[in-house]
Amino acid sequence: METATEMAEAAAEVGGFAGIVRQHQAMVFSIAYHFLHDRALAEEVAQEVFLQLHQSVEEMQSGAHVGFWLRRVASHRAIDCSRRRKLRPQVGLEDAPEPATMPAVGDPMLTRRLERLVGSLPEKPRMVMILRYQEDLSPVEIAEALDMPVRTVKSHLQRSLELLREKLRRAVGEENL
Amino acid sequence: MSRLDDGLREALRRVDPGPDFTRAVLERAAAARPKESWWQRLAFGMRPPLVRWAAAGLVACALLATGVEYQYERQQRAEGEAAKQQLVLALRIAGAKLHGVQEKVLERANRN
Repeated sequence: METATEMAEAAAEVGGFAGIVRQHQAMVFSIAYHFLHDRALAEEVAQEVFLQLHQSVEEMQSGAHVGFWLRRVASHRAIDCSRRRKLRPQVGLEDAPEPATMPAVGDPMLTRRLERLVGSLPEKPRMVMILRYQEDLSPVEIAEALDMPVRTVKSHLQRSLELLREKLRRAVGEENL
Repeated sequence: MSRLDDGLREALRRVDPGPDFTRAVLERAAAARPKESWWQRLAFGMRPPLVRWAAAGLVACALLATGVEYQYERQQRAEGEAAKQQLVLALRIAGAKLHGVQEKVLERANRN
């Protein structure tokens, strides 16, 4: 039987952890979702990330540290999951179908098109793009999260943007980009 | 900021996993907590701070027992030493008396 103190500690622990989950769940889930393009799988990965946090929550030094840790673990777990389950998209960027017209920014068609194009990038460039445009991280921050040199991050960003731009330019023309 | 950047931000905006996500995580976290086995429950008394008090009590008992044992041995040794002194003294007295008797016997023998 738990003592009153133990029950109070458990309640405080659960309340604090629940708050952390609520605060960061959109970020963690979105990293996995944009990378894997599978809602159920992304939810599983996100839950595993938070379970791992629950086991090592005492090591966290601040709220910022929790955010950095979650972003980093979510990125690596999503990549691992993709490799393990062989969910890397089979359609290459070059093979993706061209859109008939260039929709305006904010248009659902453009959004879906860009989601697909980003999803067709190789693992590392894809995660770099997600962290850049979902999380608005700088190349230095992305490099820290993914354990890669800043030069490599910049190279991935540049090449990915060129590929995406070229892919869309073929369909809609220079002036629309 | 290009339209491509804006489009990417829109395509890669954060998505909420839904209202049940937090509950699912908390349930899994609770299920993942290691349950106490029978021997762990049996060893309830070994949890801090009880274990610290028990350890301090054991150390105090050990020190007390060592002190009593030392005092007892010291007393025994003193008593043994006193008995030894008394025995030596008794032997000296007995020796002196025997020596006196021996001298008297020799004196009488010389006279005869």
